[in-house]
Amino acid sequence: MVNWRVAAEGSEERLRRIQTVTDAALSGLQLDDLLVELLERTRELLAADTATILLLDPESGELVATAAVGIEEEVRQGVRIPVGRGFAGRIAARAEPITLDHVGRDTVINPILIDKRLTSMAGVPMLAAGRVIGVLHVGSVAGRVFTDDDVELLRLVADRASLATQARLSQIERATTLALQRSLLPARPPAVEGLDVAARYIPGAEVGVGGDWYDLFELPSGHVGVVVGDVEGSGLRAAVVMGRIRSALRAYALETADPARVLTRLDRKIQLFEPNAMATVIYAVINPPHTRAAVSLAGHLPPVLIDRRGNPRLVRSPVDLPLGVYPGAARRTSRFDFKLGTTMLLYTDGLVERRDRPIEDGLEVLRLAARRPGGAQELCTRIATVLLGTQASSDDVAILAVRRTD
Amino acid sequence: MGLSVATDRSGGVAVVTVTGDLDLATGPRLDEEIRAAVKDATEVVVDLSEVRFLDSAGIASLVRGRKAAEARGVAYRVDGAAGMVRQVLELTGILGHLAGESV
Repeated sequence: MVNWRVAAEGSEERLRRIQTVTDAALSGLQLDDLLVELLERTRELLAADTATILLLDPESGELVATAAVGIEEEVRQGVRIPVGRGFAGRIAARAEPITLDHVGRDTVINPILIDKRLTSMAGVPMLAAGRVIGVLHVGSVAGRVFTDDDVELLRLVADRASLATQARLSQIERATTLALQRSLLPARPPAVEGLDVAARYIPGAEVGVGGDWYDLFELPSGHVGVVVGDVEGSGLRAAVVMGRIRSALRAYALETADPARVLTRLDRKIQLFEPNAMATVIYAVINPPHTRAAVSLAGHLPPVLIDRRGNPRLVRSPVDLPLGVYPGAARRTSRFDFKLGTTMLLYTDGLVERRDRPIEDGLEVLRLAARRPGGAQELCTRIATVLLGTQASSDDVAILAVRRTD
Repeated sequence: MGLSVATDRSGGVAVVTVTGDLDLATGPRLDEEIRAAVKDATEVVVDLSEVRFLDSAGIASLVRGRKAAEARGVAYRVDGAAGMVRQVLELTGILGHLAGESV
């Protein structure tokens, strides 16, 4: 009889616990408020003294205190725990719950937990798609045993917190990537007298905003640098690396007007400081009277030259290795005439690469689409319409057109 | 279409056969396979003859494979690239490098 009653109370209690932490009203909260509210409710349900969420910083491999109740100083002090060390670190490394009935220098590395005089702790990993993204733990000053039911409740809270965190992070990442991309790629490149310039950046259907960029700058010597590049990868990471490579190219462009030398120096910088990055780049330098251009290709597709009568041709200059592939790779510069009325069209592979068509066929479609005299803006619009109008590219696309008008 | 990868080992040579589309979504699968292959082989050959589509992310994966092999002193060679796949490797100037020629 007694046992029945305990069992019934047990399941009622479980239900109350579940309702408390899955309450739909929580969804209306901002992430920070949601995490704190979840921790408050968890602490109350478990009669614990502290509750903390640490999120994994994948760059450093450390857990960073992100939300806490009863132990707010963890967040204020920005506590960081390496994965594998301390209480939270061990939970993250094993991806399994851990309970402690003794808190001391042998079981934790965070002095705040000891200062709080915590005795017992229980923690669970926060998982997203099977990967650890953080740790949730609670602590109690009084000695106690956290039960399997307590751990189950923590798992439920951790799931809820993981979902909310992931949704928010991907939202932030998208917004940040877009903001970064916009700041680095001005919709209207700087005006250079004697040149008509237009550019486009189109995010990919599958990769979204990625590592493609275009750039155009006039050097003190009167040379004009023209760049289109593609950092392999997608999202914020690719965009950040792109930003650094773009700046470094500009810096080396100030040192020499020879495109192959600029790319050689850029490659050396990438090999050393971005060992996991790979990028294709076309870098062209137009001489001060704008009559000739020098170009170096690092794994990049050939530019299209359209003469004043509208006849297009692919400039099949020698192609050297992409940047970041092999230390000390040889690089070459080739030169061509840039006659009055000629347009130089640079682009990234997303423009011509399709799953159902050989890339050489894509290049031919591009060449034919470029066949017509006209301004740089009009050319960019036509190219984008013909090559991306009916079938969006899965990859992002950058296009830069430069026409000599004087 | 996805990607399947299989490794055939014989006498210190690991032949990694890649089938399907090698791109941003599937590159990590090949990375994993090559990393495993270089651990216990003296030579790794990546066979692309069954690859239908290759993009820059796929090329990056092949390059990472070469770096992983070099770091362990293992010979590395990409083989069997034909048609569309060969065109992409030629246009990006990387065919010779991956085929094991000296630069």
